[in-house]
Parts: sequence; C-alpha cells; structure tokens
Amino acid sequence: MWNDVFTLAYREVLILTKIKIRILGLIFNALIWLVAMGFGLSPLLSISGVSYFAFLVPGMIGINLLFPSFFGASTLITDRQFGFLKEMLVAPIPRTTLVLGKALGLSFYATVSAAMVLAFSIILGFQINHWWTIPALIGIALLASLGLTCFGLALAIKIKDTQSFQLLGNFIVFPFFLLSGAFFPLDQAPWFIRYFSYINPITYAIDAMRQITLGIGHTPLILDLGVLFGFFIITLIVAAKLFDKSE
Amino acid sequence: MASKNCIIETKGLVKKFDNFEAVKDVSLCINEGEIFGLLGPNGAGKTTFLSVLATTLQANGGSAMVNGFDVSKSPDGVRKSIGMSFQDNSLDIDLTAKENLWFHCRMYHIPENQINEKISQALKLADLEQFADREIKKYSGGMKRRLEIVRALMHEPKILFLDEPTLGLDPQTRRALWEKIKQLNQEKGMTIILTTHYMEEANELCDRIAIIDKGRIVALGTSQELKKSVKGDVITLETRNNQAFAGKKFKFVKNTKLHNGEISLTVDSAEKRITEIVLFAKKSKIQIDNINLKKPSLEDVFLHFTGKTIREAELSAEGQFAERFKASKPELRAR
Repeated sequence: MWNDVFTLAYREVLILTKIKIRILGLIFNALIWLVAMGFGLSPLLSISGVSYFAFLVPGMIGINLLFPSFFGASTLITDRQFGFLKEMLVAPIPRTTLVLGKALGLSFYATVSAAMVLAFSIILGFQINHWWTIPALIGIALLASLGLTCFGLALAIKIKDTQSFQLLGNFIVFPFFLLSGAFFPLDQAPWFIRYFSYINPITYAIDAMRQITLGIGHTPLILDLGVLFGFFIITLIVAAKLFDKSE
Repeated sequence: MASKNCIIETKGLVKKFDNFEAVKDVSLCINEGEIFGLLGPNGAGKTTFLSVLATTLQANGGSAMVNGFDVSKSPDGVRKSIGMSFQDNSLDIDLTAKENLWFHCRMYHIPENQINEKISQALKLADLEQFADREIKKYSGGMKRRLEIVRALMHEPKILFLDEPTLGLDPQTRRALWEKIKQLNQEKGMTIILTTHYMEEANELCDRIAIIDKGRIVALGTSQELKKSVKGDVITLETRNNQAFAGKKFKFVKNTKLHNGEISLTVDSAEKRITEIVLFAKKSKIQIDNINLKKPSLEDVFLHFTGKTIREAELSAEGQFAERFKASKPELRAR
C-alpha cells in the first residue's frame, strides 16, 4: 500500500515541478505578505510581548499552506477531464489509497511552500531558539496540509468542473484564511469570530506553530495536534467513501 | 455461480443513464482464452458494457462475474484480473511517455528490476522510442492511441479489454497490433474482449463475435456460424424498378431486403440462380444497372439481424441526435 501511495504522490510532485511558474508564484506570494504586512504593521503593534512581524510568521506559514493544499485538489477534476482518472480507477488500487496518495503529493508541495515562507522569515529576522523547532514546524505543516487536501479532494469529487470548484473554493477559503488567528489574537476578538475560528482547522495549526516558536497560544499543544490529526482522518475517510460511490 | 468455462458471465445486465437504457438485459458467457468481439455501430452500448465489466460504471440490474469476482461486490478482485485500453485518452498529458508507462508498472506491481525492460519493450512495440521523453500533450492522436494500447498490455493481465483498439490507426500499425493481440492470446492464454465497428477486425481477430445493436445482443457465434446464419448467398441488385423485384416471389429466394436503392436477395447457390433473375428482369422489361453476387460477410450478418448496415445504423443514430437537438430548447442550443 505505501508503495502505491508513494507512486501516486510522486506523480503529483512530478507534475507540479514541471510547472515552474507555480513555484515562483508561491515564493513571491510568501514574500509580499511577510514584507508588506509584517514590516508595515510592526512599528505600530506588538502582541503578547512579541513584535507583530514575529506574531505574523506562523500565520503566514498557515496561510501559505491553505491555498496550495485546497486548490491543489482541483487537479482531481483535471485528471477526470483529461481522462487520466480512468487509468487510476481501473488499477487494482483501493480508493482510499488513491485519495491518500494524491493528498500526500499535494501536501508535500504545500509543505514546501510553507517551508519557503519559514526560510524567508528567518532571513528577515524571525528568531528560532532551538533547531528542532524547524522539523517540528514542518511536521505540523504536513499534518495540517493532509487534512486540507483531503477536504479539497472530497469537494473535487462532488464538483465536476474546475470553474465551480474555484468559485466555491473562494467562498470556503477566505473565511478560513481571515478567521484563523493569523492576523490577530483570538482572545480579544468578538465571540462570533472566536467561535468560527474554533471550528477552523487552520486555527489549530497556527496556534501550534506559535506555541513552539513564540511560546504564546490559546489551546494546549496536544489538543491542536489532536484536532489536526482527527481532521485529516475524517476528511480522508469521507473523501474515500465519496470517491467509491461516485466513480 | 458462474458456469465452469465462463471467465466472464453476465446475466440480464442493465445499465441506464437517466431514462436511456444503454445496455438492455445482456446475458453472455465469454470463455477463458478466447478473443471475443463486440461488433456494433457507435452508440450501440459496447463501451458502456465494457465499463460495467471493468468496474468503472455500476450496473442498474442483473449481474456480472469477471474471473470469479462479482463486479459490484468485489470490484478490487476484478481490477486485479484485468487490463483495459480506453477509446478516449487516459494518459497523463503532463507526463512523458516513459513516465506514464512507469506509473502503470508501479500501479500493477511489476517488480522493480523488470520495469525498465518492460518500458523499452512497450516503447518499441508502439514505435515511439524516439519520443519516449516527450510530454503526451505534444503527441499526435495516433501516437497516443499506440501508447495507450501497449500500456494496457504491459502487466499481461488475465483478461484484457480493448475498446476500439485500432480506431484512427493506419493500416500497418493496425496489422502489427492485430498480430500482437493474437500472439498474447496464443502464448499467454490471455482472454481478450474487444469492441469494434470494423467488420474486418472482428473477422480477422475474434474467435467469437457478438453483434450488438441498441444495447442488445442480436447475434452471437463464430464468424463462420454468423455467416451461415444468413442462410445462403446474397445477390444484390440495382434496377430501375426495385419495387417490382421486391414484390416478385421467387420460389428460391429466402429473404428479400430493400434498402438504399438496392435489393438483397438471399438464396442458396447463387451461381445457379443468377440466370433466373436476369431472365425475369428481361421478361418484365426491368433494366438491371448492377448485379452482384457474394458469399455472406459480417456486414450481411449485421444487415440480416438489424435490417441496416452498420454505417446506416451509425447515420440513423446521428439523425436521432439531430432531431433531438432540433427539439431541444433554443436557449440550450445557443450556449
């Protein structure tokens, strides 16, 4: 099974690396957010004793995870449109493995983009106190991304054209993006923002990353990781079930 | 339970799309080790039938067993037993030929040390060696077709489904592919089920042929048996008064069919009867423009069972589409 997951994931990465403009886009995106928001607002704000720039870094990592993870799932729709999905569907591979393989490949790509944000942040002055926080951040990013890609894949199975997926995706991704604690601390936010944020898995990823780098956060680290893992398992099962039924 | 020799057995198989029945009550037994052809015009339901057997579509009724596995209850068992080449593209257009073949080998668990060998064999067979590292989106239609078929052969499945394998191929490639299909069948004992609307292909390749029309199997047998079922030779005539000929009851004529400005008369030993027909024409002062005698072909078999030639069946399907299109709402058409 892990061999098949690897093959499927490898294909995803292979395709994504062929489209070089996407990688450039990711790097540019990460930089512009960090520089404009971080440096623009840093002189005005400091949160829980850390500079706004430092506060923003885990948030930016989370956001740069969200977009490629979720929208990467639309490749399932193009696989269907161009016919390659048929090749996968008649292969002797369980549907769960197909979903997991695709999710892993897309997550790998999303995690690389998150790692790039981290690298830029460090270059721009973000302080890392222990070396082990880097692999820990990457591990959290990968776990969060797996859940988000499976969530995207579940939708991509139901929605059969790319335009609708993009449109619906924007409706879903923007609240996830803005109401995740990436830009402001949640404990001072109004209750409706707080409640929404607590059903948003990105919130937990950002919270976990803030705790291990800055030592500030809202929920216990173990709860953050538990929520991310649970989200991944549930979305994986749902996506595999939907896949089995619809194809 | 499947009968002993049936590697594929369907009973009353039905597949519907909304209200349209694409496959109607098909019961069929395909023997292990045979090359089985599904012959019929476009839109007859051949691809739908194959897709149900290959587990990519779910049946609405009846049952189908493939290599001892029920397609609806144990699709994974079915998938392990089969290979399939599709009528339309199923290659990853962003990957190169080599990468596509590699992916296939991995999906079908071909041992790592055989993969390179398999890939070069497949590329050679498809005559695509010099394009191995080119992305599929830069391939022509024929190149894709060739690659698609050699890919389906790579893992040497027990049962191979080929949906219109030679559609759009040039005659040499088609011949080469037929040879390869026969070879796989003989050397490896692979059961091969193919769909085609080429009479020649069915005749050349298939041990048994099912003629399928509008979702139903209308005739089944070896090429010889099917031709015999026409019962006799066919004399085709074009005359200035076809109606008079069609109305005339010759004692020796078994079947008269009028279509497309031609009359087909089914007779025994046509060589002897042809003079009688000419004499009748002379006596009735009907000019014969063209007279033709032939031993029955699969085309005649198709005509015999469906009342149409395969080409006419395809044209009438297009005609129906055009009518439906006209009847559809104008705002739908504008889009």
